Amino acid sequence: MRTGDRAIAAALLVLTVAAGVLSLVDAGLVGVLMILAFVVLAPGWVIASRLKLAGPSLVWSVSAGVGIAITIAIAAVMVLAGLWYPDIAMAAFAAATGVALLRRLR
Amino acid sequence: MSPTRRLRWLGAAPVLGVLATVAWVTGLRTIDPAALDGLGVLPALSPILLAAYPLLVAAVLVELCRSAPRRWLLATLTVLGVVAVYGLLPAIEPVARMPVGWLHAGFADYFAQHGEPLRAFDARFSWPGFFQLIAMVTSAAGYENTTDLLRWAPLVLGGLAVLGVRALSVVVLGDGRAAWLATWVYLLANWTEQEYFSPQATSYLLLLAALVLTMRHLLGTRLMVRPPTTRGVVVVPNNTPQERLASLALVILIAVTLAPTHQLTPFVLAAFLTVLWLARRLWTGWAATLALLAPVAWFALGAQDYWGGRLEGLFTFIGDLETSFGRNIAERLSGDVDHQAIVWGRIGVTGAITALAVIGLVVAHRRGLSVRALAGLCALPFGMLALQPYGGEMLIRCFLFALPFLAIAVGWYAAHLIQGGRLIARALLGLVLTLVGLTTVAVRGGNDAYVALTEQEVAAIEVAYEHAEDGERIYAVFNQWPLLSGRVGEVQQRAAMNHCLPHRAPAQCVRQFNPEFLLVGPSQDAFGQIFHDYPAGWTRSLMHDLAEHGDYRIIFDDRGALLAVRSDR
Repeated sequence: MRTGDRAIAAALLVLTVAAGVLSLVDAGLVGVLMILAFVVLAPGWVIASRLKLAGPSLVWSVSAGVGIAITIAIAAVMVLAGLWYPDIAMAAFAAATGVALLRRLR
Repeated sequence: MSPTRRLRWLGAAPVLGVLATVAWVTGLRTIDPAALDGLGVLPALSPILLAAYPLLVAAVLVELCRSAPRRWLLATLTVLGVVAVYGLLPAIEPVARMPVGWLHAGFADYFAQHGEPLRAFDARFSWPGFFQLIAMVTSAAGYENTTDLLRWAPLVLGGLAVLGVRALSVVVLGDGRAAWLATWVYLLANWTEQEYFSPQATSYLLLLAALVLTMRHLLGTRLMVRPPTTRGVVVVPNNTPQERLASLALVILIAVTLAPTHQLTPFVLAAFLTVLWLARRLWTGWAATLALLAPVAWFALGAQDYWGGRLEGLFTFIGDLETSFGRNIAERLSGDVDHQAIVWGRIGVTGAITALAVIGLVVAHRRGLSVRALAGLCALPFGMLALQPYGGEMLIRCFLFALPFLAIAVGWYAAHLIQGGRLIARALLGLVLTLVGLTTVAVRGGNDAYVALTEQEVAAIEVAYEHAEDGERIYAVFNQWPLLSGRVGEVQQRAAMNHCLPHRAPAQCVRQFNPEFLLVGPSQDAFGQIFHDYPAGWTRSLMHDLAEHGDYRIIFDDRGALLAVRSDR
């Protein structure tokens, strides 16, 4: 893994942990912004960075799209199942992303 | 390195960029939406601030004319451009603009509280993806006031869209001058204002991501390269099967999540993929097929609330170009002379970019490049006009969907002009980009006499929410109010004139419905002046007339924002 990607993975891991923790407490507007940043940046990057997208603009635009898409899918599944637990779902999402980022860092 | 050599190495671009930044920041001043007229924010903008835009364009062109343009500097200038275009209105207006953005916040809050859509209430609940997304985020953070996200949403969503167009340009044109120019053409020509807090803005990001993945990993032949002459031969993309399948899976994931998020965008994605398939670029037609199945399935199974009882009406306008053009162009050229000038500005930018794209495609064709696929992608969105007028907003959406590809065609042509080396061509390019950019900045705020809100208007509806009991009605006269930003499903919130008998004056309309609460304010006053030739201050006259007759009593009155409650309540 390139040094630049390691630094990005490490930074995203910090963001992911913060988002996961904030989703389990009443975190206010700062919490909303951190969680939004997590959604747009972290889970999509885990996938996009493996796709040889040749350029930061490609990586980050795909990261944003994929992260938003996954989050919409999780929310939709909760609504369809009648199990609306967004804090637990977001924490689990962050945990799964964090595990993926840790594996990238090893 | 001596100071002189260092200065020559730096070049003029950084200096121009710094000057542009200083001009923009120095020229910023908060405006009073209540003082705007049919020209919107333009008369309120400082000439110093407006000077920032040609300076930025000059900085970008000067840098691109170097033998080795510096990517870091172009990226920095692009970020400045995003802030200057998308951040202008949030920076100068007191509260978030666009009343419908406030409605979206209210819908998201409803989801957050109830975990499900409100049935048979509003068509937008049939496409709940965006509201569910926001509800999940705000609920996770334990935060109840989604309206706090509204004000700077255009900067974030607009900036991410510019990033997506940049990525698309790089994958089509390569990472050179043409891709930077395409990015800036998009940035300077996007007058559509669809990047506010909305499902369509979020869907647009998904669309761009899917297109980037498609262009990068699912095309066997690049967009502007001639495909194999033998029919039936599809070239396999030059990557690994894992990359292809992963990209295909992600495109399908995006298509599936687009389906419940926006009415139009998933069909546009499917149509783009179909064009690529027909142009013998796309590795597999399944991408287009599955991308089309998703929104059709959602429409049939998930949007029954919407089409139940109005199925025939959905297909009434297919092929009816007269109605489509009438609602999208002729009816838009209404209102006072100032407002019509704004509409002509939008038409002008659309026409200019389209014309430049056509010229670019012709020149590219003459140079031996394959342009049919790109031309098809540019033209396809405008075909939606033959399907539906979409409430008069279809042409806006057509241009927005086409703009990334129009920008790519123009970007290629602009790079061709720069590489030609002629100073006059470069100067003309700079002039055209500057004019397009300044026109876009002007028209983006052109409706703000009635879509920009005052703090007092926001406060007035908050007071109405505090006083209203469940089942009561809070009405504004026209739509220009942050209705449904709260108490969704609890109190009825409407614009009276939308439901009135035709040709009724506002006072008659209010008396027809007799809502418990009535709101008027500067944005509605401006709307009435611009589109109905009402006299200035007609809203205050209306309220005082109602109060004098004993029908209503005014309980909130602050800088033109008034809230009245029915006297017998």
